[in-house]
Amino acid sequence: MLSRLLKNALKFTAIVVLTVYSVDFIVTKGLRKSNSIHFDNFSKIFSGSMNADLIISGSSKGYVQFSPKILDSLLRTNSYNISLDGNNFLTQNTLITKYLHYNTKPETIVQVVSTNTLKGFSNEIFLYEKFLPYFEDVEIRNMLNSSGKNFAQIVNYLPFTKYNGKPLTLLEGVLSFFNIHLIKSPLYKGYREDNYNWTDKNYAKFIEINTKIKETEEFKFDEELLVLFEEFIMMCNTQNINLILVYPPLYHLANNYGVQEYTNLAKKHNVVFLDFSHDSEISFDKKFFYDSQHMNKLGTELFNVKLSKLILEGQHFIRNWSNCDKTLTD
Amino acid sequence: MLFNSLDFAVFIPIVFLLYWFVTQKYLRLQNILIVVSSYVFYGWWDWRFLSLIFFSTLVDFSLGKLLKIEESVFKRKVLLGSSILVNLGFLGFFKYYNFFLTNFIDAFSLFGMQINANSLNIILPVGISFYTFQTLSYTIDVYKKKLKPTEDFLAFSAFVCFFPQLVAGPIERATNLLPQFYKKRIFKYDKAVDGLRQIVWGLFKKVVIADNCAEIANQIFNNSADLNGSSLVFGAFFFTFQIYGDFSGYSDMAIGISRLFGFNLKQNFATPYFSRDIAEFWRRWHISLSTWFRDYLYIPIGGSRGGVVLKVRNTFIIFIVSGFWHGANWTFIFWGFLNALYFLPLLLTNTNRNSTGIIAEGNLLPSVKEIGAMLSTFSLTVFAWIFFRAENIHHAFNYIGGIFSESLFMKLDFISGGKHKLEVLIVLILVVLLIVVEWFTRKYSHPLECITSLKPNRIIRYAIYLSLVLMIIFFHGSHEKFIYFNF
Repeated sequence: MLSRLLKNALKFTAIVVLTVYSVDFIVTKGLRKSNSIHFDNFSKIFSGSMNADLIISGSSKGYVQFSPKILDSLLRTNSYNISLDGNNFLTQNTLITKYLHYNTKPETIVQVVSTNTLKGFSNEIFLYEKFLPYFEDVEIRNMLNSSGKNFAQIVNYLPFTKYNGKPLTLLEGVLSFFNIHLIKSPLYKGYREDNYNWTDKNYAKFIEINTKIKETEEFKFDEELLVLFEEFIMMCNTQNINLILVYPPLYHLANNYGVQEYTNLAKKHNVVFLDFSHDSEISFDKKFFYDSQHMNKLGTELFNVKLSKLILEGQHFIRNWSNCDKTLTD
Repeated sequence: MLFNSLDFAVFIPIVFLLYWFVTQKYLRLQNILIVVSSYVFYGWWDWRFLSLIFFSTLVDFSLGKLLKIEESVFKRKVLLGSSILVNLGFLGFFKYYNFFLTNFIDAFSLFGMQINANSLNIILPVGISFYTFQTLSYTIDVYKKKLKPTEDFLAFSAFVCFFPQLVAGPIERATNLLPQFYKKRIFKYDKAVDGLRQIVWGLFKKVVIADNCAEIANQIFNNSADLNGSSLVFGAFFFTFQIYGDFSGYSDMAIGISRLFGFNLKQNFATPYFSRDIAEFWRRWHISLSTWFRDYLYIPIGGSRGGVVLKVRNTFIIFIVSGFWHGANWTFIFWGFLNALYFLPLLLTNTNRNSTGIIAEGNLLPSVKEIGAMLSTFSLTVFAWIFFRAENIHHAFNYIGGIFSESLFMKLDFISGGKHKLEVLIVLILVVLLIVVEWFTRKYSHPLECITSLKPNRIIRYAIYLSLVLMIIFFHGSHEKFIYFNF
């Protein structure tokens, strides 16, 4: 009787294992060719089909504020926005590394910097499922493991558990495997156009919260991320990639933490740092923003034109720090 | 150790194999294994609290023996009082000390008297409310001479710390569980298989239903001040299924695991959300606790005997105490009070035992009247759960205020900040699936039990099991701990 139970339990376990590994295989293959909002950039990067001349990397501040459409037309280049919404430099750096591994080297990387770029994760990586189809990649696995996300330990031993709790990702993977692409990415070359205004209610909430923030609040970079960031700058220098650090406009009442630190870093490594954080033309007008940290379509268009002009003007000094000091306090 | 953890997935096969292959022939050895594995199971959280269980075991075992030889009514009462003092003393200190202290300080400050007393940083031992009630029931039954006190310390220890139901019930009576430790357990294939089925169903309810509902409910309750009325209704709805999936899921797993080891535990949930009135709900929800309070509190204080005033008083006492048992917070007390209010019309009209059988028995679907009765009971329950879930009483009233506002009929606004709306829809579909399955299997103690009687062919059976296991693996929500571990 007991042996019958064990035999049946083993048989059933074997069926379960076989099924979950098959599902994992199908979902992973499917997601790697998905062109949906979360996976499109990754599919292009890992298949080596992105090959842009100018790469924009950053968090949401890159994702919704750097329009390849404008940059391409004004700079006459082929740009691509690979920013990761809600992420810091740990994941951004991993993605750039993968980009450089699978694609031709870009001439320029615009690295978007801000308050949270070099701050550690307090929680799991936002939308970490983007990385899951590439979990077998050692660098990606290490990055996910070091991010403090709890799943990582178990996934290392049971890789099929990586899509746990992500039913939509599973569904998308299965459909994409069979070349059914229900929702195409609405992004233009990785850029999300946020065309809405800052509501009075949310603005009032911001003002209320902002007044409570102490001016003396200590700002500090995460030390490990800082090391990673400096290594990234040095890598760009050794590979002759033009690196431009850009701090995009914030609403003027929002703190532009880190400007001085980024300035020092740029000077130290002789790279360009364009500080738009409290831009006189954009930052003082609420109509350009949908919250204190992000510009809407209107603000983004103006900002991208300004940025393109500066880059064009600075083409001749882009590798020469001493000539571009004027851009620091624009 | 959580039932839905990897630790437990390693722990349980080891104990199972040792139990049936190594200790099978020797009852004492089996009981020793149960005690040791239960202590390991409990000590996995915090080994320091093992001393509490051991002390509680020792006290009640000794008092039971003394009650056997003691004839004097007064001395027997002292012995019983000692057991109550020790068990409720533990509970009072670990669970209620800070609550009483802060409330006393607040009360005195109302009269302008300032008391300087610091609350203690007390960690609540997991499951203390469950095992103290279980051991208490033993001493009370022995005192009432309903049960012969045991001479077997090992069996009694195993009864107190039996790991499947140690930390979140069902709260077993000594009359049911203790004698099972005296007898040699014989492995029965059908019983073990049905136990496994119940474990899978319990896991499904916990991991797929409760944990997914929890993500949405937490998001809504944590941001309730910013959300509109319709979203708040959804929050209460999802919490209703979170707590049901969580607690009844745990009970199913506890019962299923016990069956794997040859034990029978009492059913703790019987499709409570299909109840036609609140009295029926309380006969179907957390049955082991409701019956405990009925037998050891309600009946001793008079029960439904006496006049209307006494009946009403007793009803309020039992519901409020039951609410307070859940936690040291006014929210639980108010939750108990609210349920007593719900119960009152049934009590006064003597209709509290009108709905006792299986609803719509023999019919595929309920009648319109039955649907109305179920929906109204369900709505009252959902409303009461708001108090249970809220952080404090102000939060609860603000939440309710938010529901009954002009935004009640506005478009849901909780989705944008958290889960994708399709994910919310999937959770909703899973909840509907749970309701449908439970409806059609409502006469069984758990839905998969119907496989035993319907005997579908092997492919269908395996397809059902596989679908559930795949959903458990792939659709599980955030790794929430069991709500009732807090109690």
